[in-house]
Amino acid sequence: MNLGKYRDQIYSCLRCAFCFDDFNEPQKAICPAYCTYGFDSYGARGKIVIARGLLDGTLNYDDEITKRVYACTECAACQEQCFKHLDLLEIYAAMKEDLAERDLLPSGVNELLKVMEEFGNPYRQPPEKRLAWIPGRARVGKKAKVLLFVGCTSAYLRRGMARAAYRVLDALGVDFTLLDDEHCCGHPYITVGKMEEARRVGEENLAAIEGLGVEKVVFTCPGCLRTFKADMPKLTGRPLPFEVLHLTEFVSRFLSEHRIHLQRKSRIVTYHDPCNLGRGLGVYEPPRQVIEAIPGVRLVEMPRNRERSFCCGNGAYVRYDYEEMSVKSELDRFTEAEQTGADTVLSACPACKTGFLDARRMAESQIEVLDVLELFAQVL
Amino acid sequence: MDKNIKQALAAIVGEQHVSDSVADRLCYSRDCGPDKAGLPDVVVRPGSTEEVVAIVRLANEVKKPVYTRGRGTTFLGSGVKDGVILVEMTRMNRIERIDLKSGYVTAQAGAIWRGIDVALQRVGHELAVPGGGGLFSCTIGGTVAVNAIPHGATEYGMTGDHVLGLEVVLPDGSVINTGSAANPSSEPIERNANGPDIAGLFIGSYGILGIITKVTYRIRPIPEEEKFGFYAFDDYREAIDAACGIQMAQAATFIVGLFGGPKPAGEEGDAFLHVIVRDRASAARERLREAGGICSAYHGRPSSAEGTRHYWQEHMYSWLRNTAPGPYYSNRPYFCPEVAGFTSTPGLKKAVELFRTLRAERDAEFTRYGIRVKGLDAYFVRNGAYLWIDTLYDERRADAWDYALKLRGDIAELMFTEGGMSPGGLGAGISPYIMPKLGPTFELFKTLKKTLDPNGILNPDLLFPTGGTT
Repeated sequence: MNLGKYRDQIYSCLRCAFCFDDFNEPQKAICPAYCTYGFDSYGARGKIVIARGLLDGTLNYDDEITKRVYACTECAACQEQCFKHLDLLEIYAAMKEDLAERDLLPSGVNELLKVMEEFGNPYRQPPEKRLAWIPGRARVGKKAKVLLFVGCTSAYLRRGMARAAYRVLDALGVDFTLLDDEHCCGHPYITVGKMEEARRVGEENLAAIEGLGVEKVVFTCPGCLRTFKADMPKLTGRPLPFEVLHLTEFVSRFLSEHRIHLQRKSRIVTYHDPCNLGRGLGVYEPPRQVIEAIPGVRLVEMPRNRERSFCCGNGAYVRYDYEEMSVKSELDRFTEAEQTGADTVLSACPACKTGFLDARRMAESQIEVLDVLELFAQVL
Repeated sequence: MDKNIKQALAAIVGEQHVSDSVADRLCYSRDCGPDKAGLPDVVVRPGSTEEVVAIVRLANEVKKPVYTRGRGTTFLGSGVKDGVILVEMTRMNRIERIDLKSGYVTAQAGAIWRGIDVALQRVGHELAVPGGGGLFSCTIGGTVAVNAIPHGATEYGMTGDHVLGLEVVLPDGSVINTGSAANPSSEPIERNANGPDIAGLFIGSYGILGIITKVTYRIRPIPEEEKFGFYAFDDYREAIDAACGIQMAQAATFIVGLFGGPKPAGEEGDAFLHVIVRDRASAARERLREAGGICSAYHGRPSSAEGTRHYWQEHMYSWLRNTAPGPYYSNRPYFCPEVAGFTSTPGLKKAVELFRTLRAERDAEFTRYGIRVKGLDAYFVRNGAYLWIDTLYDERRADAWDYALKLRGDIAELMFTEGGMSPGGLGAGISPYIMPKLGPTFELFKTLKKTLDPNGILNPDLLFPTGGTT
C-alpha cells in the first residue's frame, strides 16, 4: 500500500479541524469538496481518518472511498492551514495511487484516461492541431534559450492564452522556441494516480526539450509547471537540466531588468491566485507585479487572496465526476471577484479562466475574464 | 442499520444530508483525545431547529440513541457508542444577530467560534471570552455544551459565564428558550431572568439533557491596548504566590503559568508566568507595571515577552514555550490524554507537587512507554487556577496507548482526591473517575437525566451509565 509511507504523518493528525474553515471570513469553509458535500469525509480531517482506517484495517479501499478521495481539486488550502504541517496532498496522492492500482477509479476518470490514451490530451483533440493557433512555424523546433511549453488547455481550449504568451515573448525580443511534438505534461495522470504513465510522457517531453538545448522553459499553465518542477524530478529520479518558471515570473523578472514602454489601459482588475501557482509553488507576487506594471490598471484584491485564495473548483480534473462541486466553487469565487467592483477578473491559469468564463455565463455577468498575459499582451 | 430509519431521516433533512457509509460514520467516532469510541449507524446533518426536533422525535419513536456533535474538538472523549444516530450540527452555522447596543450575538449552535469572532471584529467587538480551549475551529454550541476552558480566563471568566440565553431541544422534542428569552416578547439579554438559571443546566452537560440549537453570547468592544509580560522564577511556589498577588490586585487580564514540561526556549528557571493585559492604553501600561512589580517581589525575572505576544495573537500553545508552531508540532504522532481542573491558587502548589512526585516515581514507566510531559500549565482564573496536566503518548504503540489511558485515570483519581481538583468539562474519558465521587450531586444528575430523558435518548452513558434506551 503506497499509503503506508505516510503512516507517521497520518497518525500525527490531531483531528483539530483547522483544515475546514477560513479563519478570516465568518463561517466560510476553505475546501471545495467540504463546502459542497458537507460531511467530514470530503475534507482533509475526514480523509486522514479514512487513511488511518485503511492502515489499521478498519476500512478497505472501495467505491465509497474513491468517491471522497477523488473529490479533491488539490487546491492545498487544507495543507496551508494544517496545525501539524502534514503533507496532505502527498497522502491524497498515495491514496489515489492505491485506488488506481485496484481499478477503483471514478467513471469520469476512467473516461479521461481513455481519451488520454487515444488523443494524448484530455480534450479529444488531434495532436496535429496542437500548434494550429501559431502565427508561423519559424520558431518551432529550433535551438533557442527559452522554450514556451504551451500545455493542452492553452493549446486546444484557451488558445487566446497561447497566442498572448507567444506575442509577449515575441514583443519582448526573447529568443524562444516551441516543441514540434509537444505532449501532455502528465498532470492528468498524476492527479488520478497513474504515475508510470505520467513518467512516460514526461520522459518524452524532457528528451525533446533537452534536444533543443534551452536554458529556461516557461509555462502558461501552473499545472504543467508544477508537474515539471515538483513531480518530474521525483518520477524520473533526476533534476531538470533547465530552469522552469511561469510566464508571469519570466515577464516580471524581465520588467525588473529592462525598461519597456507599455500602453495605458484604464481597468479595475482583481486577480485570482491559481492554486497550483500560489499555494502549490509559492508564486504570488510576480503576476501582481506584471499587472501593476500596466499604466492605468488598478488592482483590487479579493478578501481571500494569496495563501488564503479560494479554489475556482476546476483543479485535478474534478469536473469529470463532480460537476456540481466545480460549478458551485467557480460561482462562489466568481461572485467574490465581482464583489470587489472590478471590471476584469484575471487569473494566470487556463483552467481557472475556463471556470470563470463558465461562471460568467451562468451569472450573466458583464465582467471580463482574462489571463494576466492576455491583458499584458494588449498593452505591448 | 434499519433502512427505514435512514429514509425517515432523509425525509427530515434531505437525502444529501444523511449518510450510512462507513467512510462517513468513522469520521464522527473519536474527538481529538485518546478515547476509543463506537461507530454510529448513521450520520445526519440538520439545517434547522425544526429538523433537530423531528430527529429527536423519531429517535424516541424507534428507541435509537442520538449523539450530538459540533466539531468534535474536545480531548475528553466523545462517548459515541455503536449503532447510534449521530447528529452533526455544523450545517446550522448562521450568525443570526449582532446587537452592539445590547452587547450580544445570537448564532446557531453549529456556527464556528472563530468565524463568529471574525464577524464581531469587523465591528470592533469580540466574544466575551477568547476561544474555547484554544481550538477555535470549535462550534459555539459545542463549546457551551462542554463548557470549554477559554484561551485565557483570569479576568474574563469561563465560557459558561457569558451565555445569555440558549435555545434547546429537549429529549422529548420540545423546544425551550432560557433566561429573558423565555418570554416571547423579550430579548435574550439576561440569563438570570424568568426564574432559575435554566441555561446553567445545559452548560457543561455534554448534551445529555438537551441539544443546544442556538446560543446568545455576551460580546465586548475590543480593548484599546494589549501589553505582554513574561517572568521566570527559580521556585514554582513563588511563581504561584506572584500569580495570586496579581489576581488580588486585578493587574492582569490573563495569567498563564508553566510548572512542568519543556522550559521555554532560551529560558532558565523552575516556573514561568505569562502576563497579558488588555485595557485602555494608560491603564494597560499601569497594570502591567504593577504585575511586574509583584513578580519582582517574588524574585521573578522579567524576560522577552515575544512568545507571550505570539501566544495571545496566534492562539498557538507552542508559543507558551517560545517555539514556533511548525517545528514544535510538525510530524509528531502524539496524542494527549489530558487531565485538567480547577484548584484554588494556594492549592495549586499541592497539585503541582503531586504531579511532579508522580512523574518522578513513574520515571521508568514513562521511559518504557515513551510518555512525554507536554505541559503542566495553569490558566489562572478569577478565584483560582485551571491546571492542565498534559502527557503525550505515541498512538502507533498499542501498549503506550493503553498505558496512557491508565495513566490518565490514575492522575485524575490522584488530583481529584488528594489535589482537590475539579474538572471543568468532563467527557466520556474522565467522568467515570469523577462522577461517582460526587455523592448526592451525582444522584441529582441521574435524577435530572431520568426525568428529562426517560427513554435515554440523548448521549446516553456519556457522563455516567444510564442503562441505554428503554
